[in-house]
Amino acid sequence: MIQLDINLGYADIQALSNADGVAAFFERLGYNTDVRRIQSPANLGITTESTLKPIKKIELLADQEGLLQIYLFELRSVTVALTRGIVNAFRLLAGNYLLVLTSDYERLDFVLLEREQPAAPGFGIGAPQVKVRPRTLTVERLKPERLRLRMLRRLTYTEPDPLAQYEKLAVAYTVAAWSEEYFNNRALFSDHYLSERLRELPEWNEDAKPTWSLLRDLYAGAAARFGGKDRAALGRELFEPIFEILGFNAISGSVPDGPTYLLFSQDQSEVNLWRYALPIPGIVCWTPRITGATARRPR
Amino acid sequence: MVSLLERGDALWVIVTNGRLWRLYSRRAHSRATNYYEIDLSDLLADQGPGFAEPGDAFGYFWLLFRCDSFLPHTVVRQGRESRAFFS
Repeated sequence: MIQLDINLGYADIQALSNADGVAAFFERLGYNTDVRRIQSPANLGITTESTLKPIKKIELLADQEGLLQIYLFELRSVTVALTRGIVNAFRLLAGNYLLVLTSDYERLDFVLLEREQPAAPGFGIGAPQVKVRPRTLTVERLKPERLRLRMLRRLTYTEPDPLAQYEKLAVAYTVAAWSEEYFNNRALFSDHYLSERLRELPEWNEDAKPTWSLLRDLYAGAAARFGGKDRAALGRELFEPIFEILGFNAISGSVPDGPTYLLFSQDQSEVNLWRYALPIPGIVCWTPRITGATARRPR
Repeated sequence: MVSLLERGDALWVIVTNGRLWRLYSRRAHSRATNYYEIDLSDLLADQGPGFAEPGDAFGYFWLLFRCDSFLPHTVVRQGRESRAFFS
């Protein structure tokens, strides 16, 4: 099973030029594409004439134990109304779905279906029904934005089961809604601070190249070098050098289930300054996977 | 992680898996769900206009995750000095 999100490049997105390219993309992300087969609209419960007519081809691309499936829809044109029509047909089907909608493979819509349970249960004809909401990520194949690329990486199948993987996808779509090009700021700083004030600070113009070069060397071939290493080795070979580069003195945490490192300044006088401000200046928790909207407890 | 912040053990917590680096703050409205996140391997792959130069993107990691940024600085606002983080 893949442990970390696949490092996708622009070439990977540009290869999505036909059904085989899209299937290969999901196979690379760790999905089971052995089950590829053409589907009829009727098999998916698509019977409305206005939805049927623009559909050229439907193909099941990947199936994870029947609990998470990926379908490719080749359409005459992709419109909001048609997307809604297709998504609505999945309302009565069990399982979770990711759809890829396209008319020309220049623009691809990755549509995650999210079910909304009725607020209150009811009975009979007038009972409220489950609704399905499409969450759409549009990707321009020939010029994918960095933000889209980052989002697509998060589709990598890294979770232990299809339901957990679907949760990961849902979070990825949520994160995409508030992501910026270079970072995800979940309301920790103001947008004005990050986009304007930070860039006006004199520190912004400092020469970051020495730090950048050191970190690049450290991360070169990281997947091969660090894959499968235990926590202690990762700390020694990756995290502790990073903290040193960033100017910290990292002390290993000694409390079980506590922080992995306590961070101090390397300069003793600054440690005093830290103590003036904080009982413990900074804490680092290392966790092998970060997928949810909130970080998990370190293991 | 949240309990560390709530107990006041730290003002800031960094959570990382090596690729993603997240910053949480004790002062955040919601300590569990408000965070700042950067994909470091993505930033390191980004190059600026010159050969082997960091791009703009790297500045966000460099400025927000280095030790200096967590040290309180003296700032002057409306003629009054105070101590603040992140300038």
